[in-house]
Formats: sequence, structure tokens, C-alpha cells
Amino acid sequence: MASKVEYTQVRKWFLVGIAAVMAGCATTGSGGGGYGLPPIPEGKGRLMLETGGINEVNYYVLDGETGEEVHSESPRMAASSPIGYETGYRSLPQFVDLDPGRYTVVVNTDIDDSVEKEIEVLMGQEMYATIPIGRFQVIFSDAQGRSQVPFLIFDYNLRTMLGRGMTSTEVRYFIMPVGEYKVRIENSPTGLDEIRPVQISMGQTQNILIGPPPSPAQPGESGGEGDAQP
Amino acid sequence: MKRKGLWGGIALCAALWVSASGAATSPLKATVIDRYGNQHQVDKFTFQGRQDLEIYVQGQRRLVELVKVDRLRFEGERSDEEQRVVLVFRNGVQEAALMVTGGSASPHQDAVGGGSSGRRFSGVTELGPFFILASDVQEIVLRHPVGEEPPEEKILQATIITMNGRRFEVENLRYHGKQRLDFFRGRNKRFIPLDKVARIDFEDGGTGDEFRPITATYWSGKTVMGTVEASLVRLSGETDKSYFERVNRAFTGVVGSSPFAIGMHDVKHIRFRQDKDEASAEGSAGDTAGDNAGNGADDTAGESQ
Repeated sequence: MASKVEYTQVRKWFLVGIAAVMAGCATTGSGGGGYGLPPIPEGKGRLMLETGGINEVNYYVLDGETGEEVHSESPRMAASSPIGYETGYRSLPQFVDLDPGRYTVVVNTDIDDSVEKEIEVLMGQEMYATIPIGRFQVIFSDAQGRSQVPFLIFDYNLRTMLGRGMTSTEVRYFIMPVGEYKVRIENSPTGLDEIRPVQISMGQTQNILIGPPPSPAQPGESGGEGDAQP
Repeated sequence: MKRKGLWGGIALCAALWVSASGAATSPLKATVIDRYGNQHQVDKFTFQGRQDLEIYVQGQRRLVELVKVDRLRFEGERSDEEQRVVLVFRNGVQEAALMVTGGSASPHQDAVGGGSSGRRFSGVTELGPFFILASDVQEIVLRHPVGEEPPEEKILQATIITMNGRRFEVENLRYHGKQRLDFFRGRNKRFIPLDKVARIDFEDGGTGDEFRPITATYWSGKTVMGTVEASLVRLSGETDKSYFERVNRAFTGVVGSSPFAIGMHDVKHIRFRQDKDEASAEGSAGDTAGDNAGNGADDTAGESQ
């Protein structure tokens, strides 16, 4: 009889333990710390941004009927800020859970033009808003290596200045709507004036290298393995 | 009864799927006529993956949404890098503009994945994916759903009062070619739709300030505060023309029959007029903008660009 009671007690504690472990797992998953996206809250739909591999964009969502802002995220620094750089890898797309209805998603880029997309969010469903944007990087090097230099972004005809940016010593991308543009770096005292075309395509990255051409190797500086030592 | 419920569920799912797939893609359909006269019926129609066109009207850059366009005719040669285009809008308005079509230009060596110009129209035909270079197109006829109302675009009428008290009655007011004013709230960029605001007041910025605080009052009574860019500093690399346009042509429009342009640094108030107010204003001499104009002279001649 005593052993039966003992067996029941053990089984009870065992079940409690399993329940506790399951609850712990569930908490981890819904908190967003686990892998994948958390479930869509009841009565809402999910709007996800498809940005062609760009980790983070500044965007906001307007209600389709009232025009009121219902959500916004601004994780990126301004293009002309001297302290901006890519902060890391984000494995999940940006998303927001919204009440069902029509919305306008506005994605701010690093130039004056924003990209807008109208989308309908349905209850319990994930809706992807494809945002036609791409990115490029300007790498400016001088004698000391990579450095920070301001530059301007124009339309392809160089008629209208659309924005400005600052190169970085770190990895830093500039986000723009797909299309063709020109980038200009001018520094009168040094005589530098570079105008480069930029072709922005969705999901592609363009690196623009600006700087002095590599100096020719001097005698004794080739560093080859077979060089004879004096 | 159970079967009825099942069919209802299936029908609901089908309806949801159809609406979901429709919302995720470009809804535009077009008939593209190339330079040989061939017609292509294209669905999911886009230009460079976008649903708008970059054109230049009287030298000013403007983005035109394709959903507002009825047809588009190219009047240049295939080899032209820039062609004259005639746009016929759905509301009947016709406008001539310039559009960069690429011509025989090839992308720069730095352009990753290049090999052809990116200026192309694309979509899907019955035969599969479709794209055509803009320089090969003669005409495009957008096929909008029958009975669908074209998006409304108002011709904005406003009274602009400058910092030194001059007053201008401006028609077709635009901010850098758009009917919206970009502003900053903190470091977040937002816009104010100009057709929904009654007035915008510009605070005095200090000399040399790059930003000016503004307060916009909507017709609904809502008030929005922020800052707008009003820099007079010439940036390194800016051309004379782009600098002049940026500084002195923030707001453009028409005064009488003359073009009008004014810089952001020079505006004190903007008061918009609604259509019904305009009708009633015809009878009476004063309008709402008159109260504050005070000593300002009522200039009808445009401040020339």
C-alpha cells in the first residue's frame, strides 16, 4: 500500500516537471527569443516587409481610411550622420501585427523619395509587402586608409540633388528606391571630383570604390618571397 | 448541414486566397506597343520594378504614379538618352515631359550585375515573364479596371505670405513637384498631404539654421508640429542649378499666368483654400487669408524663378 502511494507521488512530481518544462519552452518561443516568428495574436494579421535582403529599414504604417499613423520603426541613422554603420545581422524580416484592414506602408530611404505600398491585412494571415529598394556603399580611401567624406546623391541627369551621405570607415550601406542615380564627391582643396553612376537593383549591392590608384611598387618594397635580402 | 458548412468554409478560404494574392502583386495591366508596332498585353506592369515614372516637367523632377496615367507616348528616337514623352492622365489632362530612357547608354563598370540598362518595363504575359527596354517602346496604354474612379488629384490653391509681408495667390501649389510637404519629427521623416491642411505656419529660424519649425493645421482641426529643411548652405558638389532650385524653388505654382517659386527660408504662412470657400470668395472681396496679411502688399506678379 505504502509503495503504491509512493509511486503515485513520484508520478505526480514527474508530470509536474514535464508541465514546467513545456511551459518554459512555450514562454521562450512566444517571447521572440527562439527561432522563427511568434504566432500572430488573436484577431490580428501580420504585415511583413520584403526588402530584398536589407536587414533594417525605417518605415511607418498609415491607416488606409483615416491616414493616421498606427506603427513606426526607425532603427537606422540618417545617411548624413557620421556615426552610422551596419549594426549586425538580423535573421528575421521586419514585421508588425495589425488589425485587419487596408494600410499604406511608407519606407523612408536615404534620399528624398520614399517608397509607398498599399496593402490589405487579413486576419490570421501573413501579408508580404515587397518594397522595391536596393543599397550601395561608397568606400573612400586616402593615404591613411578608409575615411569619412561627405557626398551627394543626384538623379541620373545630375539635375536634382536627392540626398546626401557620409562615407564610413565601417561597413555602411545607403538605401534607395530601385533606379539609376549618380553620386558625386567633390573636395576642391585636394582637386578631387568624382561622379559615379549607381544602378540600384532590388536584392543587389553595389560597392563604389573611390580613392587614389594603388601606388606602383618601389624597388625593395615588392615583398616577394624570393627577394634577395641585402 | 455539415456539407453546407464545409462548402462555405472552402468558399471563404478561396475568397481570402484570391484577395491575398491580388494584394501582394502589382495590379497594373498595360498594352505595350513597341517600335515595330507589336502589341504586348502585360499584367503586373512595372517600370524598373516600381509603379511610378520619373519625368521632368519644365525642368522639374516629378514622380508620377502609373495608376494615374491613361497612356504614355514616346516621341523620341531609340538612340536618344532622353526622350520627350506625352502623358495623358485618367482625368483627361495631357502633359509633355522629358524622360530618361537610356538609349544606347551602358552601365558603368562599377554597376554590379550590369550588362544592360535598368530602364525597362516589365511584367508578365501569357507567354511568360516579359520585359522591354524603355528605348524600344513607342506607346503604352494602361488598362485600368472598368468603372474604377481615377485617383483624385486636386489643384491646390493657396495664399503664401512671405517673411517680408508680401502675399501671393498661388494655384497648383507643389512642394518639390509633389502635393505633400516632407518634414521631420525628431529624426523621423514624415509627410503632410497638402490637400488636407488648412494652414501651415513657419516659425522664425535663426540665421544659418538648417531647419525651421512648422505647425500644420489640418481641416479636421488636427495639428502637427515638426521641422523642415531650409538650409541656404551650398554643399560641396552641388551644381549652380541644383543649388538654386533647392534653395529658391521649394514651393512652386502659378500666379496668374506666370510661374511662381519660393524658397523655404522665405515663407511665413501658407493658407489653403477649399473649393467651396473659393466659390463664396468670388462674391466677397476678403478671404480668410486677408486677416493676417496686414500690411503686406497683394502681389499678383509671380516672384520669378
